[in-house]
Amino acid sequence: MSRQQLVISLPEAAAMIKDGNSVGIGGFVTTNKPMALLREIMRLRTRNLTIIAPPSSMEVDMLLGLGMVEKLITPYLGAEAIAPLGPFHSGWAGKKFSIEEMELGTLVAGLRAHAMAVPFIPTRGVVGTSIPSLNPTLRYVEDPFGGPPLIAVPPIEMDVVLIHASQADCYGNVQHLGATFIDQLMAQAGKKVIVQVERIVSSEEIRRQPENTTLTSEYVDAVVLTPYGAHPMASQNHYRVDAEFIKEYVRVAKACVKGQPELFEEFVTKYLDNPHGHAAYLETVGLERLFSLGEGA
Amino acid sequence: MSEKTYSTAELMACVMSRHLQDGEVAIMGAVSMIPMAACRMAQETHAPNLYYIAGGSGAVNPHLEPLVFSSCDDENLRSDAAMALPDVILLEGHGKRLDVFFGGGLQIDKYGNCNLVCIGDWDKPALRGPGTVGLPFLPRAGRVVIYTTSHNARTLVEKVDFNSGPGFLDGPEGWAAKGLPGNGPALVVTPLCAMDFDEKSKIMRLKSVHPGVTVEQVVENTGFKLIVPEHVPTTPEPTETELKALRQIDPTGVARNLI
Repeated sequence: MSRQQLVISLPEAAAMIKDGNSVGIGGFVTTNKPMALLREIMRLRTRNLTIIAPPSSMEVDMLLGLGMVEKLITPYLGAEAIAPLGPFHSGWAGKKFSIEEMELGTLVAGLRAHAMAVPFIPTRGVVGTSIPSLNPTLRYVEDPFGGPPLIAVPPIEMDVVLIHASQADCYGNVQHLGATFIDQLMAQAGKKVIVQVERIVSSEEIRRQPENTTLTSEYVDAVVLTPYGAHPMASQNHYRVDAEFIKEYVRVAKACVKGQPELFEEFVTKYLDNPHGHAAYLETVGLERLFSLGEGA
Repeated sequence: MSEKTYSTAELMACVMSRHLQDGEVAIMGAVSMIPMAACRMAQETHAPNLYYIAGGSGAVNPHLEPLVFSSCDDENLRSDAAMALPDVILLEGHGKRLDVFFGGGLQIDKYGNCNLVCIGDWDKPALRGPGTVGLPFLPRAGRVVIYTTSHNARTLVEKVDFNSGPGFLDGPEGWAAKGLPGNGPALVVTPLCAMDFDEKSKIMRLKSVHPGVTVEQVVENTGFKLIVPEHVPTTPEPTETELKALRQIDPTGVARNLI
C-alpha cells in the first residue's frame, strides 16, 4: 500500500459541491480567494448554497448574482477602496437571498466551538449591537461563576470548505507563505476541505521547512493545482489584486441590478462559461495582464 | 480651497495623528487609508512607540512606504509581525488590550453609534451595507475614533437604522447599564470638522471647524442637533513637520488624493 495522493482536477473538485450544501470560502476581502474553484462551481450553477465566508468580495457577490445562494453568512462584502459595495449584495439582500447576521468575532467563535467540539463558546463581542435580536442562533447564557450574562455562539460546520494557498505536496500538506487569515479555523470546521494552490511541490520541499505548513494532510481532502488561481484577487507573496477587473465586474453587476443584465451576461459568458478549464480562463484574461500583477511590474 | 498646500484627507490624518499618544495601541479595519496614514505619521513625529495593527492582515506596525489601498495587501507583511486573524480577534474582544479603535459607518448617530449593515429595515433594506466586519468590538477598546469622508445629513443621523458599532448606545443610562469595558467614542473626524462628545449627555459636540468651513455649514450638514459651544476654534492646519512626515510615508498620495 502506498500513501494516498489527494491531487484532483478542477471538475472533480467542483463535483464535490452539491445543491443545498453549505460552502465555506477562505481568504480575506480581495486576498487569497479560491477563485478557480469557485469559477468551476459557478459554471455548474450549483444551487441553494449556504455561503459562509470571512470578509468577502466579488466572488460572493457573483454567486449571489448567478442565483446560486439561498443564505449568506459573512461579516463583510466589499472591495475596500476599489469598490465599497457588492452590487448584488447591496441591492438584492432580503429579496433574492436571505442573510444570517454575522460579525467576524462571532464567526471565529463559532468555528472555534466546532474545532473544540463544545456546544458553544461564550463571548461578549456583540453586546450593545442590534445583532443578537436578529441572529436566531445566538443565545444569552448565565455565567456559572456569577458574572454578567454572556452570548453563546454555537458551532459552525460546513459541508465543504474552499481554500487558496501557495503550495502543497500531493498528500495535502499545505503552506500559505503569507497571512493565513482564518483559513485554519475554516478548515477545522469543514466536513470536506479542498485546497487550490499556486504550485505543487515535493514532500522534500515541505519537509525542509515544516514550520511553514499551515494545514496538515489530516484536514485536507483534495488539492487542486491552479497557478494564478486567485485572479482577480491577490495571492499573498505571488501577485497583487487586479483592481481594474474588479471595477469592471462592479460596473456590469450594477447595471444588472438596475435592470440591464446584458453586460453582466456578456461578462459571465466571457469569463465563466466559454473558457473550458482554468488554462483557458487565464488565456482569456491574457498573460500580459497576469504578469503585470507581479511584484515590481 | 484650491489655494491650500494640503488636502482635506491630509488634514483629517493630522487631526487623528495628534489624538494618538506615545505608547498607545491602535487598530483599524478595512478601507482605512487615512487612519493608517495617521498612525504612520504619529510614529514619525510625536509617538515613536505607537503600536498599530492593520486589522485585515493582522500586520503589526506595517512599515508602509508608500501607503497601500487595502488593510490586507501583502505590502502589510513588511511589518513587525503578521498575527493570525483569530489572535487579532482575541485582542479586539479582550477589553483591556486596545487604546484606540478606528471606526466608521454608512450612518453615524448623535451618540456615536455606527452602522455598516443596512439603510432602512433590516428585513427589506433600501440598501444593504458591506456588513459589520469587526465593528461590534468598538466598545471594547479604550476609546473610539470615528471618521467619515462624507459629512452630510444622510451619514450623520439622529439614530442609526442598525447598530453594528456601538457608541454610547441610547445615551448615558443605557451606556452605563451595559458595563462595557471601553470609554466609548472620543473623537469624530470628517471633511468639515472635528467633534467630540459632551461628558454628561454623551451627545456629539463640535470641537473645531476645518479652515474655510463655517459652523453653519457643519450644522446644516448634520442630521441631528449637534452641541455647538459658544466658541468653536479652527482646526490647526498641518505643520511643516506633519506634512513632511505625511508625504514621506505617502509619496504617491494614496491618502492625500482621497478627498
